[in-house]
Amino acid sequence: MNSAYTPPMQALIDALGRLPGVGPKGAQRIAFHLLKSDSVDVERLAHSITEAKALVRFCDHCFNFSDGPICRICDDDRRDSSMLCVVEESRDVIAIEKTGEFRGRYHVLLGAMNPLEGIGPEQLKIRELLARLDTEGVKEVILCTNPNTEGDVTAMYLARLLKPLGLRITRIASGLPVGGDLEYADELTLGRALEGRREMPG
Amino acid sequence: MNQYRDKGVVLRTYKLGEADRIIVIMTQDHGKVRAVAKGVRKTKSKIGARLEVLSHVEVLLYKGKGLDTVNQVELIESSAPLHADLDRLTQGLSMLEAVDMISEDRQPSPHVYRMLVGALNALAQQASPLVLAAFYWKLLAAEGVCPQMDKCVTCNSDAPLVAFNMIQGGVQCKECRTGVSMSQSAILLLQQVLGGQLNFALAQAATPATAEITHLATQSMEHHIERRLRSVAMFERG
Repeated sequence: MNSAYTPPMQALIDALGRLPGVGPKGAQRIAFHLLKSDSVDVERLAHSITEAKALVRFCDHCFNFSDGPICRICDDDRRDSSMLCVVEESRDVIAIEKTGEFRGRYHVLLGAMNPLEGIGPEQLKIRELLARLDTEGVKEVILCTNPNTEGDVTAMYLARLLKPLGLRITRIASGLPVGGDLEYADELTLGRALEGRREMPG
Repeated sequence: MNQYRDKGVVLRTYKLGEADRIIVIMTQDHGKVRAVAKGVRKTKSKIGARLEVLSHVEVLLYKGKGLDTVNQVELIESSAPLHADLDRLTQGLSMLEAVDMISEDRQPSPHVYRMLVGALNALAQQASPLVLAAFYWKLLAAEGVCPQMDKCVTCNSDAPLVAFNMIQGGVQCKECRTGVSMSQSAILLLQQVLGGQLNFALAQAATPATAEITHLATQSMEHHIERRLRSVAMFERG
């Protein structure tokens, strides 16, 4: 079947359609939008994509995305080096930073252990984590992996690995979303929320 | 009716698109079913937590052309005790992997479902060193490849048994020995596991014999499914 689009346009739509969350219709809409907009705007978009791809790399310390060898969080002297938050992906760092509750440093594992897929500790940045604990004076490690099977396996594995080092090892709590309704909570989350209840100041 | 209700254990999940998951579930009456669960990766999802692997659930499924769709999920048994301990969790995952490998899509096999539920319950209640091995042996027996444990598998004599041959599928006497050596206590323990004294065998403390049987169980299971078990490889060999 011959395509209704001219070849360059078909190539653009195919490329856009490979992006996450963009289907064939969405790709078509974006392509039409781009072709209609100013060439300056399109140039700017193309430039920002190539520049981001060329400049952004992993931080040598924490494996977060960074524009230099050391990311801004690792480079910031005001942050508390004694607390280290271990997360699965860079986007988790962003999520935690947005809360404004955490002033320590991060370590990105770049994935989670998945026994059923054969993804083990050696595929993650766990050796690098151990090396950091020795040199940076970390007192508490917060395991902020996702509350699903893979995240739980990873957290428990790390806890077992790190416990003998005499550090304080904590796991992020699971509970009810703010603004939610108790009656609509699923029993696993509610169970964990009850388990992790805390004393009220009077 | 295109809708059906069944009980099952979630064996695996795959991410699908932005917020959906494909779940593979071992059901009681419909065998291994693949179904799409919509929106379960969003925090708002009510059923997301119930569709994690190892969950024992009652589901309402809607039959589709290829994949079914999950409509409702109710938890029968929480997998929380398994999720609280690394050893139990990995053993549970190893059970799931073997069941996933052995069972065919949409081939009703209620006995496999019942064994899996039983084994996961046993795992949740008591951390017996033999739960995983016993499950593998029983699963192999149910598949029709139960090893011969009472007489030498090669010459059928009653001579003292000293070894285990995986390819021939049974124990061997000193004369015929071609397989790996096996201690007397391990042979006795495996006879109990397969011969109706399962609960007695499960109550045993960890000994070299239980480790021997566990190792053999994994090897026999891998021999049967003709591939390596990834979840076992990660923790036992590595």
